[in-house]
Amino acid sequence: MSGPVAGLQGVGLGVRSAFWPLIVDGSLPLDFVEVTAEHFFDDDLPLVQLSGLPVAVHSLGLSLGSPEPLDEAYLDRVRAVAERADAVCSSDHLAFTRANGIDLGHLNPVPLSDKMFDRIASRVDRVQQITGRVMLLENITTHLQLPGARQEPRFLTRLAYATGCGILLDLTNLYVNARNFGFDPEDYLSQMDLARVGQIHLVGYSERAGRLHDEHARPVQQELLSLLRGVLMQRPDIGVLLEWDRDLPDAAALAVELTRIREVVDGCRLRPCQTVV
Amino acid sequence: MDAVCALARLLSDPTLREQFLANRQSVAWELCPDEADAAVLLAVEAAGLRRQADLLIAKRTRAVFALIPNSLSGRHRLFVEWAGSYWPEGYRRHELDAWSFLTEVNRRGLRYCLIEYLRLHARLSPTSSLVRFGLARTGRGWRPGLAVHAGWSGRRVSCVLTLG
Repeated sequence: MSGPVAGLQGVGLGVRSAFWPLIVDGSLPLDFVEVTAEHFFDDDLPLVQLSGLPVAVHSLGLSLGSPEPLDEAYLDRVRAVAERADAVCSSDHLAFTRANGIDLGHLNPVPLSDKMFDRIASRVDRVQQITGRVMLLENITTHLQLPGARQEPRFLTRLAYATGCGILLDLTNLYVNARNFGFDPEDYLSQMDLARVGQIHLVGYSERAGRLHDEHARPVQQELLSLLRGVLMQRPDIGVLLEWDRDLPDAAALAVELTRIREVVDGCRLRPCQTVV
Repeated sequence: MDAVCALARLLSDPTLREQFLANRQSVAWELCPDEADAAVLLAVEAAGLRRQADLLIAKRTRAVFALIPNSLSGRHRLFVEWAGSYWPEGYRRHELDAWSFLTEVNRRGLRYCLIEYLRLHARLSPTSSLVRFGLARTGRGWRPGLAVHAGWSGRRVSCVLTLG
């Protein structure tokens, strides 16, 4: 495939209510934004106000790995938000949140079996059919490692080939899992077809009792920026999105964080010219 | 039951989880007659399973605390004990979680904040009227109060009147 999978480039920000005024008045250096679908299921906030920027829609609860049928009513709500935002793509996770009538309320890993491949692929097809947009599948962070977990980059790549979807590469989730389970994130990336990556998520991790957590509450650490640089050296056209959900920064600190990411993005875009010079 | 359903049960039911960890073979085969699914369960690391289960409750605790800080304050242990028996559904699950916990607190005869109660009621049942006496946590501490909510034709009126 030539060109970016999802059409998102540059630096983006996950829309949170506290950030909304800063995004709408254009005071942040942004190239795109991402809205969480569930935040807009019940209200009619004017997503059109964001239309100056490309919008991605990210959902948390499609539970693609559940054995139960896809929740069509839920999917229709995601579609409605995507249409209101005129989104360029939608995304959700390689995970399950509900099963056996229990809503766990959070992302949990799925066994990466052939049966699961068929299940996820059919749901991705359905999501893309209903939303009319390319879907991106995101790797999650987990404390529970299931058999076959190390096949995740190949599994995501195969899904992308089979369905035409893209990959939402969460570098923080990757780094957190790599540290907690003792594998090399670079090795993981070498097994993924980066041409299928449509977007990158990035957020600082937290550390407690010797384990890392993706609490979406910290500035991005330097080692994450190094990992980002490694990916963008190969694919400088992937959009990079900053997430932040807790202990939100003020406008100045947020701008600083976005600028740190932009410097990496711009540095990788300019790299060929610098080589020539 | 396939491996994903079994994992959902192990993550949500602390009693079943400990039974499984004490007797993996028996519980795995009981939950998953299919060999491949049972193999997934048998390969699960005990510490990882407990950590993931704790994470689910921790996420709920944090989300509920954001909604009812005064009513949850000092009752995290109670919430954790109670949370294993109730799993709210849907994208409004945090509000439902907080509402159900307030109901549990009320059932036990414990104090909760009338303002937080009213706020949740207005979110979850905007057109349902409410009149309720109780205690409200204000800038001057806990005070007796009266909560009133009315909703009609897309309009809502809510207030808490406190004494003292």
